[in-house]
Amino acid sequence: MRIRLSWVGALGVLIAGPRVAGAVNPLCSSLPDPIVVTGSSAVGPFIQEMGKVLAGQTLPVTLIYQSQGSCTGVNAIVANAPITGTATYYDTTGAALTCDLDPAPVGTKVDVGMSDVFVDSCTGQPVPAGVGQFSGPVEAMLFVAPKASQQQAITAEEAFFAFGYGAAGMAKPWTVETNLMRRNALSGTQGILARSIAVPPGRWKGVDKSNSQGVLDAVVGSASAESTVGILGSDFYDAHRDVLKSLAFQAFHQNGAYFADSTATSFDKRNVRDGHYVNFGYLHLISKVDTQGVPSTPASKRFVDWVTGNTDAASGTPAPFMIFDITIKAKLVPGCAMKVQRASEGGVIAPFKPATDCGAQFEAAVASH
Amino acid sequence: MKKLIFLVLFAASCGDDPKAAPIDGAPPDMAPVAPTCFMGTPMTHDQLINACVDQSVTVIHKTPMLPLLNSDGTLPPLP
Repeated sequence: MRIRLSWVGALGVLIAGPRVAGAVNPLCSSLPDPIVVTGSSAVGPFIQEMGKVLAGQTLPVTLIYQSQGSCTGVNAIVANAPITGTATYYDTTGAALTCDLDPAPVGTKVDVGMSDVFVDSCTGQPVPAGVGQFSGPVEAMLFVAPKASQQQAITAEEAFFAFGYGAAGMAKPWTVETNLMRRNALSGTQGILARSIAVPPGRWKGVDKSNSQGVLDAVVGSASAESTVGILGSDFYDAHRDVLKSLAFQAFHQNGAYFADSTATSFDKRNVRDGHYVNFGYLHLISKVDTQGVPSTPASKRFVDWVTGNTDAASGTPAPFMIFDITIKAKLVPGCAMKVQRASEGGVIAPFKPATDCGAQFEAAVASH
Repeated sequence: MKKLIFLVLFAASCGDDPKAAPIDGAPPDMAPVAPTCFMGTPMTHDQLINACVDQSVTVIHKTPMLPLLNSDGTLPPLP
């Protein structure tokens, strides 16, 4: 049966090219030079930007991505958990297409897990031997509301009562639990915000909207703008500012509420970069590594090298793109534009000086939005 | 002594933030008083998140009414 399906998939690619969702999907393993990644749903735009460039090379590489939540990405590597079902890949225009992963019980082996949170946030344990955790770009996590909402900011205390107590918390106007559009305990978005509001990821009130798109749809479609609040990654929010507004956030012991950007309408992530906006984390790449700490498969090494900028031909992997440009297009923040850092989830923020400061370059690039 | 210097610096950095916005439609004269910010080179977490910003940065000062907040400002346990 599996052989027959493989032939169908291969013929589909040869005759009609990539298939769209809803049609008969090709097998992911039949696509050119596949690299399989899974995890964070917030990182979708970043994968898309990389995927379309890789698909357009003379010798195409297919980035295959299953969006499930950060801790699923961690688990895929730490627990050797293959993935099944369908996955997304991209054509040269960035259009999302669908392919079929190998069916259970074997499934498809994941090359790189992608997580918005540190490994220990998912497993409760240090990174195990044989597994590597590599830091990529920075992303802010936001509280968002419908465009029609009059709310401008949310304090950590308000979010504690809204998401920790639900209606009983009396944190007006966010007292309608069906209008608290959240993710779940496996989500990096929820995991990062959980640290900032002192509500563990598994104890949030509200409605699990499964992924970023689900939160977006629920917030935008809410009949009560004022009582509605959701959580999203800043890259997802930035791509949907026409229908959403972000709420400035005031952390515990902070003197005011700040947007991730310097203003409600800018894209400079200045407050993320200088520490005024505390809800940020790194895109973590999780892969199996050898005894030298180097990703142990050619596919995982290529991907990790590309994202971390290790593109020197001697030790790294030359990239068909500038990761800085991909990061900007995906509306993330390159590490070289950061002035602060943190070493653990929700941990203290400390000054940071990158080897090569690209802050000015970043601000110039995003100013054209 | 070090703590005292910090407090003095913190207090000395007071200044009305022209970008501070009242919330929930409150008239300007009802807006909360702008808290202080840290002036100087921030090195610690609290200094970084409270460092003074220039007028190009929006700061929103908000004093929400939260009936379940403890009288000393601390959080109660989760239900």
